[in-house]
Amino acid sequence: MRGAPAGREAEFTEFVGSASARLLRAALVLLDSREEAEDALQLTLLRTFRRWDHARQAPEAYSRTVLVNVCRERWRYRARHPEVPGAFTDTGSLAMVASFAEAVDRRHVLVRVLRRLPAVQREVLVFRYMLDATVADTAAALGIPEGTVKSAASRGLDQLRMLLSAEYEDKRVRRVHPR
Amino acid sequence: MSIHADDEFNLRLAIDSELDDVTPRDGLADLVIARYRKSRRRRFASVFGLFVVFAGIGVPIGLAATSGGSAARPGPVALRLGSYTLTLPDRYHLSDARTAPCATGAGAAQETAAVASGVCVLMFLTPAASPRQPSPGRAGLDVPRDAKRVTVGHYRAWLAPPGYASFGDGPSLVNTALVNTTLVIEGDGGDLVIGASGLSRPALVSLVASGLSAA
Repeated sequence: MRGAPAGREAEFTEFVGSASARLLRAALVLLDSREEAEDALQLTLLRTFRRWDHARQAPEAYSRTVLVNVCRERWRYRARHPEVPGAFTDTGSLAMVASFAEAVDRRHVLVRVLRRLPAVQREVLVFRYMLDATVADTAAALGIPEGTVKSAASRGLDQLRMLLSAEYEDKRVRRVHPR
Repeated sequence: MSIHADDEFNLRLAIDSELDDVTPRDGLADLVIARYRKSRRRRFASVFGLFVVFAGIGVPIGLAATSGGSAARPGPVALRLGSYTLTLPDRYHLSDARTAPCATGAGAAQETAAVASGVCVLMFLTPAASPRQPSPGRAGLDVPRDAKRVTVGHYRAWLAPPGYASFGDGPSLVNTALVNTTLVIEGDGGDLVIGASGLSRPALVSLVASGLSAA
């Protein structure tokens, strides 16, 4: 039975309060920037609210699936529309933005390394370790077999360890021999 | 927090720690709900707009169909001229005789027309023959030599040869470029000419035989 609009909105507001931070962090790992992640989160919540009567049974699982679909749409869009070089001409602002992004990136080492993983491994790690989804939930949301989820998680963690080792080795060298 | 690449590495804890400052903006739920309401209003406006457009098209058609306008309507159509009535099947509808495709538009008041998909029927009365040009035995048009005499129901008639347009003294009323069959019903005071485009001779004869009546 459909709830009254006010009750529906109250339920949704409560859900956003409890789940939005985790969804935003997951979007940040799956996408390339904070802006993109925030846009994806808004779209995810909007789609979830549109189908709230259906989603309210398991809003976490529903929104996780929507989020990964939104992120995949963005990847596909980016693949079809590569950025036009030279569209941003204010070089001073560009330098400032770049340095800020670099500062953020430098701080978010783990996120940066996660973004270098293949898409399936990244999605599986995000679902399993950031969104606390079970293997079965992850498989259902990503549309892959459970065995693939397990192997992708294992390979993803191995590769993550390897990439982090390389990252720290590089930092150590830079500290000893600054450029 | 430092991140070490060892086997005890706890990914969940590390990510939580690294991204603990990443939080969504305040009032996100309200923002989403407002966006949802806006999109719903827009969708409603689109649906309403479509409804108005379809109503704007559909209502005039419906009114024309029920009020006997020029649009198609159910039931047979009657072409009336003088004492003659030609009843046509319901796929026909009345048309202005001056603008009907089978007419030249040069006609006097004594003509009427009906059209259906791909077919046009024009009907007019020729004036009685003038006293200066008496025709032996009758008062109507002279029958061309290559005309074909037929009997249509109770009427004596002749089928005009293709391209024949000399029906009366004035300008031709029949668009001979389109009209391929013309039937002339002989009358005492004048002749009734029925021209048709899109109909064969047998089809026109059959149509007239079954539909023509005189008061």
